[in-house]
Amino acid sequence: MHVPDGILAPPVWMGLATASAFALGYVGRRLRQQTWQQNIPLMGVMGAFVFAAQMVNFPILPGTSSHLLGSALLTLTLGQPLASMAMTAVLTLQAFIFQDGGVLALGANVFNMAVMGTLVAQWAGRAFGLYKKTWGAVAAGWFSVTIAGALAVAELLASGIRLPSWSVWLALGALALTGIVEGLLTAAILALLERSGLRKLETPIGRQSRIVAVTALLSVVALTAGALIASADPDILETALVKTGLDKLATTLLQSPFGDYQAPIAGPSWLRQVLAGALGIALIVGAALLLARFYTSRKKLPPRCTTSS
Amino acid sequence: MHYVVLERLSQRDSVLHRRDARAKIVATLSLLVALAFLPNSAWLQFGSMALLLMAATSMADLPVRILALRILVVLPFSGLAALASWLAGDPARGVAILVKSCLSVYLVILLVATTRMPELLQALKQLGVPDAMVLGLQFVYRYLFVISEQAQHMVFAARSRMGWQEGPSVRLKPHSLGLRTAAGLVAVLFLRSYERSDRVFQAMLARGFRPGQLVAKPSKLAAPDILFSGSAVSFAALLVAAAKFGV
Repeated sequence: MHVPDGILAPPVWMGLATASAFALGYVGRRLRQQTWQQNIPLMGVMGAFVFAAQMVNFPILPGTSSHLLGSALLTLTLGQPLASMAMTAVLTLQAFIFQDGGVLALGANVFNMAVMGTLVAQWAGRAFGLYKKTWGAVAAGWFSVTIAGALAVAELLASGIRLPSWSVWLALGALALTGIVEGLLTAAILALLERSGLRKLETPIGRQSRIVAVTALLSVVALTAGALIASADPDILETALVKTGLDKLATTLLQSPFGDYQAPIAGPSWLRQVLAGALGIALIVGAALLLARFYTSRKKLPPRCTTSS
Repeated sequence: MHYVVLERLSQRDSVLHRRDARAKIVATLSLLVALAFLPNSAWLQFGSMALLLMAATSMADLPVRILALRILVVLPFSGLAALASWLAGDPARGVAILVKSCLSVYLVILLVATTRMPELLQALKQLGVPDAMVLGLQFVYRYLFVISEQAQHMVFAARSRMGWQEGPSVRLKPHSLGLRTAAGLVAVLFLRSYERSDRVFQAMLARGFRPGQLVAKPSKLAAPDILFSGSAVSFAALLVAAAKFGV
């Protein structure tokens, strides 16, 4: 599921990298309000734990073995913000040291596994009962793996790689099976952890309401399915847009301010494309920075805590 | 463990090893971006990139066989993607996927095999990656080996408790772990890691930890470093420009 470099199209990895950077910036702000110094060793050691846990292989079907992937377990034990940071650290090191996943594709991998994987695990855990209930853990594991994998497939398709439809179904089926194993394993581990009486594992899922969680989960599933369908067959999307009259809106939105990605200056067309692209990236980054500033200015940061509780 | 190999290679000394980590990161990123922007049929550009990387390998005095084996790690994913693309009637893109992903991995391997980890992290910090993230990376890397070793010991212990089983071949084969055993093992590993992180934090406080501390000293860019990254960036730009103008 770690997408390597050289596969995704530049707009895809650039866009997802921006989205991931923004999401992680927000998560970092949330963490900083807690005692973030204590969180750093926790995040680091638990990241190392994910690496080690992935080395524990066990057979699922004759000839194939599997291992824990870890997003769901970390989310249900440490909470989504910390799990997201720890998984990002794991993915970054995997990209550099193990060459597992690309460096440019890191933004996409972080988005799939560290951002969406943990968010979906949180929502599923909440929607299917708290983490104490087995079903919540099973659902968290299943959704985190399946959604992250389906997003990776959608990104491949969006990059213009043509895949035979049977291979897409095969990949989704394999993901669903891996998800079941991940869910069972997460549930079993959580049950054991609870029996061990580790008091610190208090409802890290938060006080979010169940309706919000169900809605969020359903919308992510719908969006992922929509992304898969749209990128597998753009014609379907186009006919749907024409039917609903949204196509005109989309055209006007896309054409302004830079119609066809061409900045309004003279020069060879490739130069204009490059400039328009650079300007577009600058706009996105600027918007992300402004939003981050907005979030930070709204909440006053408490003084950094230097002692452990 | 297999990834220790690259770590050991990064301790060597060569022209490339001596370059500043920031210069190497900038060079690697610019070449990666150039690869990503090259069209699928840019064989001349792919070839010159491969030649450049081979020259860099010999300059850094790295063992070719080990690097070649490391490059193969992309094959499970890229190979499948390329195969699927081929089967869908797009063989040119399939081949391009393979070439591009192998070259990209080669670039990253060269970076990691010529840069020590503390220097790499320090460079990330100096390039503007937030402190918390760099510290987190440093922690994961430091405890990676400790906890992996613990996991290996536990797997070994579990196997020896379960005894040995007659395999299909003549050789005796250890029992493989079942899901239940694996879950128990990972749960204990989780608890041990969790407690370890607590102890680590107490130890850090006792030793006067301040955020922003990293092991390596902040490095200074020298003229050869700037020349190195400058030439890499211009080479990358040249490749993309040549492909744009149809060379």
